[in-house]
Amino acid sequence: MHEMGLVQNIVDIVLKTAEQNGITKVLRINIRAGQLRAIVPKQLQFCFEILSRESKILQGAELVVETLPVKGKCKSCKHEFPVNEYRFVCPECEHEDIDVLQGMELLVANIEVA
Amino acid sequence: MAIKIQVLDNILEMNESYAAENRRLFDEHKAFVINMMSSPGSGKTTLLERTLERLDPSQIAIIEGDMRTTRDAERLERFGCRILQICTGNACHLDGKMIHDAAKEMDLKGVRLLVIENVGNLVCPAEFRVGEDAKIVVLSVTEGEDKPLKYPLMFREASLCIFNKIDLLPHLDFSLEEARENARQINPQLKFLDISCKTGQGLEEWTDWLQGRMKG
Repeated sequence: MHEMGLVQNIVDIVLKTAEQNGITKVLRINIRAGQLRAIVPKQLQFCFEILSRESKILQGAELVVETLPVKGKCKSCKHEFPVNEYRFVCPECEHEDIDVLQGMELLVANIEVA
Repeated sequence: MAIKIQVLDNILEMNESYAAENRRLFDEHKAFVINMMSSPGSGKTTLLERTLERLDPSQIAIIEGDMRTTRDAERLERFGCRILQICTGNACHLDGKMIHDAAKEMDLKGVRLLVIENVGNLVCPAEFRVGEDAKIVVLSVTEGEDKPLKYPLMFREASLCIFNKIDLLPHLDFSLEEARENARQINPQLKFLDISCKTGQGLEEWTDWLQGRMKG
């Protein structure tokens, strides 16, 4: 159950951003999570509900998770491709050394404020 | 009308910076650091016992992570290596900060191998870098060949996969080949070792693997 820890970090980031920008009410928090992170949005939202209860700035805000599918780039032929079913093999040259271009992200993308 | 403010802050930033700091500390001591991960009961601690019998315990330090009890540390203490137990309470994994605090308490002088035995769990530990050189995933053959497909990040992040308890293979329907194929699909670079702590099979290859990477 490490979602609580992640959400605490999210809350810290959002409150810091709010303070820096003189924001008194956050309406929506947009999270970007790579598919490899296996984030369960409902669990994050549940934890957020608990952690945001005490904060006037965050109370009632919506936490939205956008899941980014895995994209790879072949180190040999440089071909970029969607990695389906976690199959890390280049569809062009069958090379197996693949860089993850997308799929490991875990960030607060932006916040929407009143 | 809502206004959008761009943030783009990494949620794991704090952990990453602790991991980087740990990395610097470990490099300073020229210690090779492994982060051992698996489900509960895969035989990590027994594998460490067999390892400590074969290598010089004075050059080895161990950080044990468990939610409760100091049983694992007690099992390993008799070998005379440096050992520190972290009871994580309700946390399901070790993170960069916990290892940072533990490493500060330990005397790492002369340590060539630091073993971090993570909390038994195939999900969360894969998310948190702790400053290790290599992640090792241990899968016992009683667990099923499809584990790599169910826990892709763990197998993607690992550089070595140990199939443990292979002495049980004659009694099981477990196919090593299928398990390897599943893991290779996610991580074609992954190396494999087949080990039985009961018969000793594969233990020499394991200690060779470690010694080849221990510095100085």
